Amino acid sequence: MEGRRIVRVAFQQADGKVKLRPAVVLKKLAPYEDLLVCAISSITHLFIPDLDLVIDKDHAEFGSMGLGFPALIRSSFLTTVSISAIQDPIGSISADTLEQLLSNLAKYLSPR
Amino acid sequence: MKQVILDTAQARTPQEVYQLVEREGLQAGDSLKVVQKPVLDKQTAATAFLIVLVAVLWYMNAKAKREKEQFASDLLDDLFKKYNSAEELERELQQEFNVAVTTEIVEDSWASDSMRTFERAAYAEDEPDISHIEVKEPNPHYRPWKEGA
Repeated sequence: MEGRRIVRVAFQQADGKVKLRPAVVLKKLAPYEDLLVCAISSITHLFIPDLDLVIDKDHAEFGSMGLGFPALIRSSFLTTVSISAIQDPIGSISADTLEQLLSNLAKYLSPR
Repeated sequence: MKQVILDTAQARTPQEVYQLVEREGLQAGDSLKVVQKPVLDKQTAATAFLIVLVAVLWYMNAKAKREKEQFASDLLDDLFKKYNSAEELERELQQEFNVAVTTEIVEDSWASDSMRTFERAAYAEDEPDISHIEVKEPNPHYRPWKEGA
């Protein structure tokens, strides 16, 4: 499971039910096959300038994302998940977009 | 008689297993509960369980004989020559030392709680359903949660 993939993460709820939520894989983490992912939500109005990315219908990668709805890649919502919680890739972003995400995050986190 | 709990997430090697049961003072007549996290796949869990049993059996034998030499060679001999299954090891522990072994798969509640908190924070309650989206490349490592588990 490489970086750039759009995946469905299975989040188990307290009642035992499962919610599938989209996320983008930023990096595979050693030594186990854990993945650093960031959340992708449909709530695009929560966009944080210079950090998040909105992939709407006019965006060149709207189709390749595979979601079918305008999405907000929430760079500040990062988590590490086991590969066993990743159902499958449903799409991807380009290397340039991944680079932009990582760059935004690095700039955001760097001391000013 | 006491119960010694051995968490395979804490004791990952035969040496760590040995140190743990030695520290806990496992002795004849005690019971041993082997706790494993559900993140392990079946084969890994079975292997980890086998290593635990071999290490514990070696510890009990060494304790009985007051010997601590040749740990590595004895362990490897046991793993690859003497025993064919975990059941044989469990039986020997029970018959020779009256140590009963039980296993338990425990949910890592901290990790689960953390994931649920993340899901609530990062996503809206009414996010679009994505369960119907076509699979591009199945993940062979995916382990579905069991509903109600």
